[in-house]
Amino acid sequence: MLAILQDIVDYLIQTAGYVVLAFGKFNSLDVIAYVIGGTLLGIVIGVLPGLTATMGLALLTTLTYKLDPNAALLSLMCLYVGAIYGGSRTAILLNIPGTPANAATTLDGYPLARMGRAGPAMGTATTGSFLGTIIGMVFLATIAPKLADYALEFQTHEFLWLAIFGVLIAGQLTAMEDPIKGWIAGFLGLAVAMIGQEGLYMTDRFTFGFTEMQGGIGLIPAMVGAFGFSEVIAVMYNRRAEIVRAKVKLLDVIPDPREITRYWRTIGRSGVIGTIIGIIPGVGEDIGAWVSYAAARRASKEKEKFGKGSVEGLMAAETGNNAAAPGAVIPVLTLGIPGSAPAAVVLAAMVLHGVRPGPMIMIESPTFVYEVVVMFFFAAIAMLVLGILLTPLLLKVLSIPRERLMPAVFVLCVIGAYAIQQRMFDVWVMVVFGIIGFVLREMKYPMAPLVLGIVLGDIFDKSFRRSWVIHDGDFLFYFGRPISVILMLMCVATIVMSIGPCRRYIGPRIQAAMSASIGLVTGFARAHFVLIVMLVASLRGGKASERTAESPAGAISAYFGILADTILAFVRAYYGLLLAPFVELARLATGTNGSISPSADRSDPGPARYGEDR
Amino acid sequence: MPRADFLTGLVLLAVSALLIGEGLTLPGAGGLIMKGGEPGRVPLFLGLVIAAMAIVLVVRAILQNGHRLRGIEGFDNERKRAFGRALAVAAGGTLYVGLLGRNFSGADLDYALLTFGFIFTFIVIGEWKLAPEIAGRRWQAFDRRAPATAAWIAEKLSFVTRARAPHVWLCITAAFQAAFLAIVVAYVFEKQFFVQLP
Repeated sequence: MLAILQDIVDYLIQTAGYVVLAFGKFNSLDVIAYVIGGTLLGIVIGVLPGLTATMGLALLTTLTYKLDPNAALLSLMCLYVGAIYGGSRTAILLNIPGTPANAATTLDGYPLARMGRAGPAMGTATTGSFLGTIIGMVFLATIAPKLADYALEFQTHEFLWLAIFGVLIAGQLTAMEDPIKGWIAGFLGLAVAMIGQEGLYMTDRFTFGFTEMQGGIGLIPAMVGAFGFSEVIAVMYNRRAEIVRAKVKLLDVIPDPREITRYWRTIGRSGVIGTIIGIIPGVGEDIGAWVSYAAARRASKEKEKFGKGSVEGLMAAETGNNAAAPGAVIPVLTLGIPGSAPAAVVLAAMVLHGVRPGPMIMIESPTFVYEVVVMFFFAAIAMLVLGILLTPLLLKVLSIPRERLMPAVFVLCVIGAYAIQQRMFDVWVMVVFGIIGFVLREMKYPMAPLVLGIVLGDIFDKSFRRSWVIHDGDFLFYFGRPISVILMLMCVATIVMSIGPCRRYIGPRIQAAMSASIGLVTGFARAHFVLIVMLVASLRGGKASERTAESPAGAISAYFGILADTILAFVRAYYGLLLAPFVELARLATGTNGSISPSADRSDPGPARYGEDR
Repeated sequence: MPRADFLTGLVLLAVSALLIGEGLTLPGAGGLIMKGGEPGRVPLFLGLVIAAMAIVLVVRAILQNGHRLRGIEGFDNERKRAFGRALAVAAGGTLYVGLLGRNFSGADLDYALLTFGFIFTFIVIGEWKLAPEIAGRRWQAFDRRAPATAAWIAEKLSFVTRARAPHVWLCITAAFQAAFLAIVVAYVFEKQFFVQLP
């Protein structure tokens, strides 16, 4: 145990050393200009409804492609963090999320503004966003190198299943109400990636005789279309937003440090949840915010305030979405798979600047991961400072009418799509994706899985065919590799859990089993703690708190009592998850009543949760 | 939504047919390609998956009466106007892209000029109806900020009737913004990023 702790401490010290060294790469004065420029642009893009982080990144990629790679990527990271934060201003003042990531912020941000607390709400959002970015950044520094090492074990089978899992989970989580639409979007993205010469035998696919199509569909023009032009059309399609004239003093916006001490659990939980959601391929910041918000509400002592102006809810949503930004970059760096739509642009920008993200990153560019960590750190600091200082200016930005803004955005979309390869074909790709993107979005098809599909298409195609060639079409080989089997099971579970009856039956049981698993670990810890306390107490002749233990034998008996309770709850939960379906089937087949199955009894309220007394 | 799902399902079936067709007809390169590595294998797989999901979408839509396409309700005037705006933006954008780099009577259409025209038209059409309200407010704000310039402009445009003044002011501000944006974008991309503009 001590050896493991020693290893962890050594690893953290080593990581901190690398991060400090990475600061040395950003020692020129230009860095300040890129950080301020990128973050400010990001905040403005986030503040303006209709302009998203993805679109901003796609446009800035085209503006920065002549820059030094570090400067370009620094600007992009700052824009990314700034845009996710900037959307909170619009959510608080207009009840319209500035970016999709700020949708959860409207729930408590806008009610707070209506109570006359717009300034403090912006301060809370600033604190949450800053701390969320820092938590995500810490995870990026610590997890990414280890994950990259682990990813070296991945072969064609694992990449194949990872691509399928990415599309399925992104489709599932971004289209919660109708997962099939998310999956369709994802598989359409994979199909789009089939256009052009394929990578193994250079055969043309779906080019229809056009030479321009042999190079395939560029990710940046497609994304500029799907997130830029389609947004321009959508903004003009929707009703004009009513702009609220809010008077906010600069002092009101300064974050209150007491909030950090008061809501440290919420901040920590939301930061971790946001990062984990960010790591899941294609899911992104909006889901990070929603899940963090839901978790905060469940754990809060002031549940009734949520949705009516809860500072805790606002803090959770903003911490969650900003933590997802560094989280989404973790799979970009280690697997070459984006964690969100903006991260897909970051991936494309890295490739454009000669960085090769993927499992080889720690071998080919070992310091790059730490440089990205430093970029996020600069972005977080700039976001905190600019977010507070430029409050009056940002309020003015909100009043720019859409008729004045949207033609400028469209002109940038056109020149942005054109500039990278200087060919009109890419501009037409942008236009087509813009129109298709608008139509799909109006029909409730999410865009993130589509983009993820385009990114993963090449990996999927090569892995699919290589694995068949290597094993001569022997499908059973997929079951021979543990990671491949786990990913395959995750794909199956994602599909099964989206089917209503299955979800209703298995969902509560999985929840019970997971809480029982956590209970098993905490129960063991508690039992050992109680044993030590009671042994000490009995040896001193006193009374222990849990059970009366006047002798060491009594203490040991209490110890085993707690262990038995814990294990029993664990077994009961897993019985419900794993065996109950078979027992249920047997009951249906034999026509017997509830005598053989605990769940056959109609009065049975479902699987027991850990610690629930029945 | 069931009607939209029904139509989307049909379109997706057509897309999947294209994928399956291409997947089946792609060449095997005369035996050079190893078994399992055929270029058509993945499009075929994707075509089948999309077809399966499209069938689910269509069947579900039919069960919700989505296949009865007659009598589309719910398109009130506001929705029609919104649809018209979206269509106009999509068409206008496509026209602008279509005109980029075109040659008329031996002369290339200048990028900056075309961009100016696009932005100016967009703003003027978009704000024309609201001009009396918006332009009046903007003029007041401008008059407060730069009274001398405002007085000079008012004197030069004294021939404009009061009824037409908001629209004239709209055109002036739109022209100013369009010219500024067109020149800045053209300059930055051409001179700073060495992009040969279309």
